[in-house]
Amino acid sequence: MCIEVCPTKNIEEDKIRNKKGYHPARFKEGKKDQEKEQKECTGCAQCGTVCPEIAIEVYHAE
Amino acid sequence: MPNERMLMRGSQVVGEAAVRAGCRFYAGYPITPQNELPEYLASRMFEVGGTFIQGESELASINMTLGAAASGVRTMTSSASQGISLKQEAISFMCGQELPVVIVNMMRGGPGLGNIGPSGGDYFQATRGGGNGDYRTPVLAGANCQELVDITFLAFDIADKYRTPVILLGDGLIGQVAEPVVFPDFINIEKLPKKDWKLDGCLGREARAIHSQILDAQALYDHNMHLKKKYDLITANEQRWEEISTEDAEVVVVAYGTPARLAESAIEELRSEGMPVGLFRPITLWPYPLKPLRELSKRVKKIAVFEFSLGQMLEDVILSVGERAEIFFYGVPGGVITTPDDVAQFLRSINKGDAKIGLRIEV
Amino acid sequence: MNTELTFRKVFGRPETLTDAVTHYCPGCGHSIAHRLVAECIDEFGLREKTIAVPPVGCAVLAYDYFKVDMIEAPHGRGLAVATGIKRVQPDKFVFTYQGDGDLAAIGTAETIHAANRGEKLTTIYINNGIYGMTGGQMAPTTLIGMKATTAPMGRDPRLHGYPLDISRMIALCEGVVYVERCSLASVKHIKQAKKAIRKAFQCQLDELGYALVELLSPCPTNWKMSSRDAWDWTNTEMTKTYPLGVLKDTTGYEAKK
Repeated sequence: MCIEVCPTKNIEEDKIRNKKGYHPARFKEGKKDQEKEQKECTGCAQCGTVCPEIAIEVYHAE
Repeated sequence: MPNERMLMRGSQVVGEAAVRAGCRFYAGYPITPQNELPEYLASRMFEVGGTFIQGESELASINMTLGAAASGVRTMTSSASQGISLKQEAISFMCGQELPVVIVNMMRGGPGLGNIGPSGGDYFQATRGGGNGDYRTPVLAGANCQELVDITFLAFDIADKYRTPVILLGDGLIGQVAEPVVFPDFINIEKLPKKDWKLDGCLGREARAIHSQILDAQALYDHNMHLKKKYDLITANEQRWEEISTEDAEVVVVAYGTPARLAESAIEELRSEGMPVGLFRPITLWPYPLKPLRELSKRVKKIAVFEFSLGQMLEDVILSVGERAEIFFYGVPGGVITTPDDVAQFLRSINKGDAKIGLRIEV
Repeated sequence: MNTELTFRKVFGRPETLTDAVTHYCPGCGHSIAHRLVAECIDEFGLREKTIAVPPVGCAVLAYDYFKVDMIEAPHGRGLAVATGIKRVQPDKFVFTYQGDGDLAAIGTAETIHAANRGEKLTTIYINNGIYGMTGGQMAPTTLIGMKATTAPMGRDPRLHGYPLDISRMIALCEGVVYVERCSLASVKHIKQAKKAIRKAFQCQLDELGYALVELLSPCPTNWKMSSRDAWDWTNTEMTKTYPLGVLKDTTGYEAKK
């Protein structure tokens, strides 16, 4: 759900599988991919809001 | 559905058997491990022109069956453990009102919410009754799916014959396990004995009332005596049990339901080792086959009680056997399944006299 | 220029939630509801004076997920149990967290009467229109036409009656001060749900009366849909039978933006 709601397209499915057999979500570190409309993370925390596992922490850098 | 061998889960088996035995009303509420029964009947009842209702609770469900039973229809409800606890008031009522109904309990680990594993923890609840007043209900216990077919038919017959609720006792294992079964033909509902007490509107006859409330003391006394006579009749005529390899046995295991199956496997193994051990398996837990077991205990000097509870059926064995034989006990509570090996070890230790598993009961 | 960055946490796991990984299915709304409730407990500083009553249902293990005192109640009796707790400990914060079977089927009597008595309790009511834990049987809130294991042809009003709107029934009781229905199936809805839960908590803290928040929740497993489809279904289909919004508000609070 986080991948869908992220407005800056910063989350993707990880290629590896976790213990439960799923491909977990992964934050794309660093690179900005103009083609896929990726922008800098704004810290809006929509990802965390929808995460049913409450697996996401969001920080603002100051 | 032709009478071929079918592979079905225990809970579903009871459903199909009930429908063939003429049951045309079922009300129940979801609870593991018997959900397959209402789920099966949700469509099957419809196919045979009966009624299926998922009640809002177990309490509502049994009161719905009370109404349907009073209307003269063969009815059934089902639940597990704590859901059966909710039904106790209505069971007492139906005993006082002399209404036939079949109540299926797939026992799970308790007390309270417990777990969804099989157990025998509701033995007292079933045989002594958890409702108020002087009543008994016949209790039938099956050990495999084919037997569930037979005792379901039997349950409806006993219920109608004596005008009493009947409890069909299974557990989380037999409710869930799938085994091949063969069903008898559908009975002809029209050919069933007429119920001259049912409430279907007093056209052409005097109005009747069905009630368990009897305010006059003497009248209530008489009614209770009438019920007692009925229970004595059931006790005299409806006991059922099975004996396996008891003719030359020196140790006899007493067990019902799933524990009996485990015991049977253990006995096979021990017999091959030359140990003379047998099985006494009650099928009616009320009326308990006290006399047959008592007779057996005059000859067999070691009685080994094995149950998925902590001393419930043991009391009936003590009642039956008394001091005629040594009584040993191995009880496993609350939702754990032991293996035939555990039972075998219990029996070996009795024979050797060191009782490593289980204990010797002082009567 | 200061090149050192400090990081300020703006979103994370609330203190009141344990670290346990929940057993809920992918896409289920329960854990999101848990997070919202836990955040409110944190924000109001209630953790050490809260006693909660989980349901019999998918959330039966909620006591493994919340760091507050919790007591199991028999199926449906949560509000009766909560009444007992709150009456002898009026200074504590007592809430029930219940599903559609617990609150609106077997617990109907206990629910209506606790609400009618105006007990100073708060209820978080998760409505997913199905019985999850026991494998997908019909609930009182199952939608017309929706298939369930005990309604294999779909819910038919002639056989099964219409979906029950218990929140509206509860709203009719005088002792009830606040009832709102929200959804858990989008960022916007989750944020609105959080506001509603905060308000419902406030009602108890101000001793106004009974408050209930109904949360429409997706159940991908028993609706036999993907998470995405289930979330959409919640917002497009469930809301037709269960429209979102405030069903009762006699609190006098102004809506906080």
